[in-house]
Amino acid sequence: QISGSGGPIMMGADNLEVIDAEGVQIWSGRAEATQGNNRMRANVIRAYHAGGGNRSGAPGGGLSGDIVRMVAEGDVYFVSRSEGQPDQVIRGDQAVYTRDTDTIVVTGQVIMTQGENVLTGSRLTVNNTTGRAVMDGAPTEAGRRVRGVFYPENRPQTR
Amino acid sequence: MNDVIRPAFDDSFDPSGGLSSERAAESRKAAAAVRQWRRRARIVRLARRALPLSIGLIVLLLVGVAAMRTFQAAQAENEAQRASATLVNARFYGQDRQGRAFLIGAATARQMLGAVQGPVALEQPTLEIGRDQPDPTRVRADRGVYDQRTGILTLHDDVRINEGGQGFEFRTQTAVVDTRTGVVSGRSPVEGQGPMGSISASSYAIYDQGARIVFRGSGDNKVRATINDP
Repeated sequence: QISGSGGPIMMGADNLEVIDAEGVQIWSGRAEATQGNNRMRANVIRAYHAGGGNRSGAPGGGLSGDIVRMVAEGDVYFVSRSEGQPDQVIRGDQAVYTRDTDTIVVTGQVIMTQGENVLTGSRLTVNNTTGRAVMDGAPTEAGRRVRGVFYPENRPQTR
Repeated sequence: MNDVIRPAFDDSFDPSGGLSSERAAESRKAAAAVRQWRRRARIVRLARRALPLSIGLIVLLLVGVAAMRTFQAAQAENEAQRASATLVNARFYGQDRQGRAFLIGAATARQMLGAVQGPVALEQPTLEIGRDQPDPTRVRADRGVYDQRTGILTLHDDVRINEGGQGFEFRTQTAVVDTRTGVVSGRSPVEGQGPMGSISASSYAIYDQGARIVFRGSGDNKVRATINDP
């Protein structure tokens, strides 16, 4: 899933191709996946199922089993919403979600924003369970650098 | 003595007997009015008889045309019945190009006589694709037509595709099955329900007995699925 809270995943796209032998659903054309408070959009989303290809070939095989891996490609846009926090928006060229580790890895030109704060890099790893995010640097003249702009919250002075 | 009684207002009689010309004119006017009245009276009498008759004729005509049409339709149906053979609990066995067996069944199958390989009209048709496989796919509908020459089975009205493997059922209004290749496709909206969730699309195509399925949306009607979290 793409949300730590779990629950049903709503998928949508212009086309869907189910390839049973590979246990994969290929959602292409304005693809989107929504689960709980999280939503992911991309040009193409591939959802891989457990036990792909062990079926005998009746239609709908690739539609069964549960999702173990999701790969989003092209204009990846991932929004994560949590109580009392501004939305966390992540953009990149590709995103891979792996259920076993419950992590999402976004690569390419990665931009992560939350409220007014911005963080850019080349690879972002977010662990849904722990909520921990690691950003790796993007190639620059000075080497692989992570850049960020943070606006401290102006708390009123208590006397 | 042969007395001739002349009516009071005969044209040739001049009642005025020498009255002034004004009175003669009046009497001629009166005579003309009478003549006009008589003519109108005749027309009215004629109309009173002619109108009911024409109404009756029209009604008869309508009833006659309706009866003739009914008779002709019955004739045509009988003709069709006589010209066609109807099989009850019909069964068509066959194999597609990959050698997979298929079975088409129907409550009744009606085929036009003289058209040995012609289309067969099916009532309550069923289809099993991959009968020799562990999980065959079953398709059924209210009506269908099977063209033995092209191997195309067209199904419509409450079409249900039960895919054997995962207990997924697709419901749609039309399905076209190419029994030579085993491809099942349809251009009307399709809904699918299964243990894993549900799916809806604007059209679909099932290849290689479900090894590959393609769903398409149209415009803003995207392909949508809800995948249950296991």
